[in-house]
Amino acid sequence: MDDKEKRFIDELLDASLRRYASAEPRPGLEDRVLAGVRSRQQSERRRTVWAWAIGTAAAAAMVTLLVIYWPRQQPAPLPVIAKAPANLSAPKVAAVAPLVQPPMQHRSQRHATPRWVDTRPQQFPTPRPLSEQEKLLVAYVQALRGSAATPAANTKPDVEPGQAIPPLSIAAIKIEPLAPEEDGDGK
Amino acid sequence: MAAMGQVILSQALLSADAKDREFEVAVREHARHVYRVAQAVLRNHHDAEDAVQETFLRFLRQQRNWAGIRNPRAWLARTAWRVALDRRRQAVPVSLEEAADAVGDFRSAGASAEEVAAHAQMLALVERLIASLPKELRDPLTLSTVEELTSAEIGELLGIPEGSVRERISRARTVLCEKLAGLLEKNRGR
Repeated sequence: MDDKEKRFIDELLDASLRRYASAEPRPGLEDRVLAGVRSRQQSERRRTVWAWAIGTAAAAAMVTLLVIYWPRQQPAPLPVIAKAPANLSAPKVAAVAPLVQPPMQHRSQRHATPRWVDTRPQQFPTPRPLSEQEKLLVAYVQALRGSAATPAANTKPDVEPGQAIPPLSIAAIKIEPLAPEEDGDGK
Repeated sequence: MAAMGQVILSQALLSADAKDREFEVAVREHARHVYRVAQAVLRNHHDAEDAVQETFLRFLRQQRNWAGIRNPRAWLARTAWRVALDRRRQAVPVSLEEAADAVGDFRSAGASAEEVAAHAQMLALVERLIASLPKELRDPLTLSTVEELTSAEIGELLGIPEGSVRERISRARTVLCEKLAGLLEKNRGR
């Protein structure tokens, strides 16, 4: 290859490489880039907002489910009813069974067993201590019974103890045949 | 308390507005440079514009770190280079012989080197020859065609010393010259 040829190829390569990257963008490149970037940024923001909204809703739903299905603390047992006085004939109060706190269960077991034990008393209505009026009534009835029993104890019995009781005899009863009544007109 | 909240809110709005203006300035200042870097790799106008947009979107996402970016121009060129490499498609194969025939014809007609270089066939031929170079020579040569990039910037972008950049560009040019001469010689021999 002679020098002329070599120089030509050098020049050709230089010129080609200059043109290689000399492509100018179309007018308005900056505006197009700004508009495109802002549009993509807005759509990204919108996606972010949606993602947050969906995430928040899901979290709220989970919290709600937890609140609904979380094992609750049973209420404190009812106070034990005071014993009625011994001299009163009040109905016996059924012993109130203490509330049974169920042990913590796994969620999968929760539906298999009832959540709480029925501790309601068997008797209805629930026995209560006597009121003042009822106490007075009971005292009055007892006093009345006492006074009624005393005269009966003082009366003398008809038969002494050990005395033989004579046989009881009852006279025969005679019944007259019925006579037909005469009518007023002579029949 | 409410007044303090208002001050903080207005400062945040002002800051966002300032960032927006700063971003716009960066786009107006560097968009063409970024475009040329992308164009040097992609060789396609639409692809290059898409790459420019992607580059500036990444720049915007980094706005909290803008203070840490010492040289935005170099940062943008580096990002555009990576984006373009990610998007580079397989070049449409051009027949070397056909392109060399066309170039030989132009030369036979007495056209100057500048006139021959202006033809699309010559551009296709050069693209094909550059694509055939090994990567270590191709990348520095491709970036060297972008006018504004210095050897130091190319070295920073590729992570190699400036001296290596010059040496590789020189080797790449030598290889291209040999290949081009061989093609034209073959064409003349037919």
